[in-house]
Amino acid sequence: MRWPTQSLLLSSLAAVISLSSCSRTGQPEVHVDGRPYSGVTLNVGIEAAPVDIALRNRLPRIREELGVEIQIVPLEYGTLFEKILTDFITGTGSFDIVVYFARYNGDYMGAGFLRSLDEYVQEYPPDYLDILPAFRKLYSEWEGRIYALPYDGDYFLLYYRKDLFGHPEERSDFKQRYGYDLGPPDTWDEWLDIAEFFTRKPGETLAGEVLTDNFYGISEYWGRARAYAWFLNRFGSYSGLFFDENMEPRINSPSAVAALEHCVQSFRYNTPGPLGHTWWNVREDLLFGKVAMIFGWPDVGKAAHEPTQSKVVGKVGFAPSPGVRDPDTGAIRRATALVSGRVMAVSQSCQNPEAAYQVIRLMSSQDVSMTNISEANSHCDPFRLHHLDHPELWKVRFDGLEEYLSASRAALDVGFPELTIPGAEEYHDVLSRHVQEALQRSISPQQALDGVATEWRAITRRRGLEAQRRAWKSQLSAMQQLNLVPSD
Amino acid sequence: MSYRRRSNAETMSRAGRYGLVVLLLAFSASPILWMLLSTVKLNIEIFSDPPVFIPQHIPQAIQENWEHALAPRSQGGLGGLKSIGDSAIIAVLNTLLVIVLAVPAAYSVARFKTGGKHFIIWIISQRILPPISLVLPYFLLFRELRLLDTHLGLILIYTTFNLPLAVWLLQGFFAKIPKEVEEAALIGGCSRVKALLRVTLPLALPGVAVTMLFCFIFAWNEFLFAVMLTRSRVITLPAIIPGLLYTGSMEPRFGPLFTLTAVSIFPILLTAFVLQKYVIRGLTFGAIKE
Amino acid sequence: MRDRTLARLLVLPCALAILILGIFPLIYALHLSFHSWQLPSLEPQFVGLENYANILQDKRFYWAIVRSCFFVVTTVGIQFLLGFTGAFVLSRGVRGLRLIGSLLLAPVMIAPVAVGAIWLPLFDINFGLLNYCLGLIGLGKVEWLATPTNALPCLMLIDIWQWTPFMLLILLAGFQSIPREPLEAARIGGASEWRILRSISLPMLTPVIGIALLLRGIDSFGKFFDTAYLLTRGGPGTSSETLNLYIYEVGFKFFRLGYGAALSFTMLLLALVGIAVFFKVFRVE
Repeated sequence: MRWPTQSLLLSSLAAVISLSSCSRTGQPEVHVDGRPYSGVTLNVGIEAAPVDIALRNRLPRIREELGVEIQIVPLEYGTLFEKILTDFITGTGSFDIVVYFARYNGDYMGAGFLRSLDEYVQEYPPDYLDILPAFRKLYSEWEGRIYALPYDGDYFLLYYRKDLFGHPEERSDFKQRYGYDLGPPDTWDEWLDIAEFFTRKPGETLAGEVLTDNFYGISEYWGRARAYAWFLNRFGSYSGLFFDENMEPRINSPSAVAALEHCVQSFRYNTPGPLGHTWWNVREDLLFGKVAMIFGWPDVGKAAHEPTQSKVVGKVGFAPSPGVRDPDTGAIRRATALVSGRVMAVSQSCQNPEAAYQVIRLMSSQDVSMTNISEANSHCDPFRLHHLDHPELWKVRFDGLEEYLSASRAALDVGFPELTIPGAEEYHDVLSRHVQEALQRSISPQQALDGVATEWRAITRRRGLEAQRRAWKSQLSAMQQLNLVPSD
Repeated sequence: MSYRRRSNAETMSRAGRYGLVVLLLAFSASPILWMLLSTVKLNIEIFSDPPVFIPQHIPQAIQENWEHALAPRSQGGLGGLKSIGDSAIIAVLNTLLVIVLAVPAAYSVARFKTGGKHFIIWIISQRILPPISLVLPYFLLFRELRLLDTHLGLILIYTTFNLPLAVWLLQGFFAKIPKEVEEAALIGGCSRVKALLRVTLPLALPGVAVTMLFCFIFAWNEFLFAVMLTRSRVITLPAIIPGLLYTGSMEPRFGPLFTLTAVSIFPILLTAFVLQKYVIRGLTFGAIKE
Repeated sequence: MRDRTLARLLVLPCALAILILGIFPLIYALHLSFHSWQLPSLEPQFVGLENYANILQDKRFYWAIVRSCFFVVTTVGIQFLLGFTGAFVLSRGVRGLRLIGSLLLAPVMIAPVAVGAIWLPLFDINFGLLNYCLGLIGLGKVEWLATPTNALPCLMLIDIWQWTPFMLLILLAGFQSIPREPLEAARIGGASEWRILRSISLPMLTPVIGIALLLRGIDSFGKFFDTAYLLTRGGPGTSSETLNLYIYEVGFKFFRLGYGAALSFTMLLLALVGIAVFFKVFRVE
């Protein structure tokens, strides 16, 4: 019975001791036996498997080159944000390095919980300009300073069944019905046509064979967690403006409504249960041969050629997202949603920031990151020009790797970000909820996005208009530099 | 009414009743049994259409599922071993704490009616309270006290819920013990406290055991606080489960998940069997005795 | 005299524990509800009754109440009807019920989150047992949890599965505690079973029924969280968002602590109101 009291005393004692040791500010590293940071142990907060696979595979190298011991603290995907944030707020200091979704930048970088890395970048350059512009400006920097380096660049590719697209019967049918040639769609309208064209019932033919099951045009992740992302993929090319310069929501502009309208129109060509679809439903639907096209993360491409994971080996083509054709000029405006990319950063409570930076730098270096992103099953995706320009260095080779990389290049040239301002999760969740309601047709797209605008204003007000505006201005200027923002 | 017809009617009614019981059993048990069956299936057998009723790879599945379920997080497993440990530590220590606090109080209430009406009100109010109304204040308070993500923190919170239950149940058991037995001890020269420890408590031991089991069950099963107030150092079995389902980046491995689920319900099923006599009393907070 | 002091002393540690662990946090929560506090800002701001005023205008909150009430009334109602009917049928006597009793109570005793984990794959559109059974009798696949209209009923189905046997056993205990003589007398006198039920059994069962309904209602309202959190998190959209889930989102996903506290208190108030209404209707001690 006295146990609880004792342990309370002990833990208070421990707290006092650890607090006093925290007051020693960073001392210069001692370089011994060729390994600059021997004896340093760093705690890395990172999502549990499979996200941490790449990091885990590199532990020996980190130990060998830097002398640093890494303790991986696995976190759950669903509560990653809260757990890291509460750790920062309470000052508990469980993590030296955190690996998290870039959309949390506002809440972590903006709130001052992460260490600025500028001084270390000067001294130990990380091949910064080789990192693609979007991942530099939107993922790694905050108000002009560098706080993080990418771990996993995430973007969408359009995956399509090139065997079906190339089938002569399908091609002539399509040309007859729609008046142009079947191919990876350039515009959203074409994409919709193709989705409609390929949605068939049992008894109809597909590529010369009679179907025994339903076949669908598309499969999309309309589950609550990422419904906003699939919307953003269209929003980027239709509109692209979240807020104006005064933090007034523009998410309900006519072009944004058109984007949502398009989502609603295409909803019926999905495999069953789209409102519950998640990442693996969409991936499986393509890899098990149930749909003609999906948008997915780059991991799908790596798996598509593996016979253990895919029933459509050799049949998958890669293309960037379609766009919107300007009625006047005829030019097509494309955008590819960059969703769920991850970055590595150093927390303020870290005792060995230079060592931590070196770890991050090593992980994101050209050489190591190439291994990370091109290993099988690593769940890390390209974020450097180096990754896209050197198929011969890829660990996983497959037919179509060049096509995959050039499609990725095209996609990343027009990469469009999520919100990275404080409270991003909340803003996104509001968007997801209303998108889901619009898809069920319980409200119109205009009503849905008006609702989003209203709630977004409330969130902004609650978090402080000035702070939010400042954060948004920073993201907006980055987006403007990347030509992602229309004059709408 | 002839004798024969009544007999037929009797038999029909009997058959009907037993039929209902079988139906009930099937109804209650089948989802659980289906899950237990899945613990010996490979992932492809779990994700199979049509469903697999007779798993073909039992030894391999068992080995894979258990290995993955118990392996530590740092090695890519589910960390089942640690979670079993965390759950056990918290449940056992909480039960002990609660019993130590509750036994004297329950005795006092049973013998001396201490507290009277206030006591009853408190008991009822704790029952009504939606747990979520305590999560936020506890989160903030534990933040200050650095009790987030600790065993002690959860032990303390569960006391809030287990204490009223324990006092109420124990009070009922103590009340059943005839006063005369204690009187005899008192006359023999024992102090009250000695009488309580030497005489009453041993007699009430079954009741105490039952109470302890109920406290254990609550602490073992508790989810809301376990999930909200821990991060990575303490992960109880219930708290592990949502993380396994919503990995966001990976198809959930249901085999190991079910294995852990089976592990987590096993002590409870065992307890239910042992406690059958008292389960209804415990679950209705003593209001209904069977 | 000494007994009195001893009595107080014995209760003291327990009473202190309650005060510190149970009452103090509640008061703190009340205090919090008069502030606005959005983490990660470190300073709560006093806003008086503004949170409560906002609650009155919070449409999402009202819908959550509606869903919670619908959930409670429907699940408890169905559990009661099924349980009562079953108990009535079995009241004539079934041997070995003790043994089976513990098996029937298993769903109730295992962790609710485990229940969710058990039912999630059953609901799967492509691989779930439910859709398979529907297929066997020629019906098409149902998009169980993925459809807004189905999500809440799915959760209700799980709750009914869990608690009906429990209800049945309680009511059966009640039936079995009715003294035999009046029943036998009435039967011999030629009264129909239905008449017996209405005039003799029901009145004697009223207290048991009352307690069963009350307890299940309270638990269903305030404690149904684990399974819902696991299976739907309130979705798709907000179609299965009950009060508990909404408060969780406000407080723990978006860290609006003051408003979350105010919501919790309002929910507590609603629970008290519900109980008061119940007592009026039922007039049970």
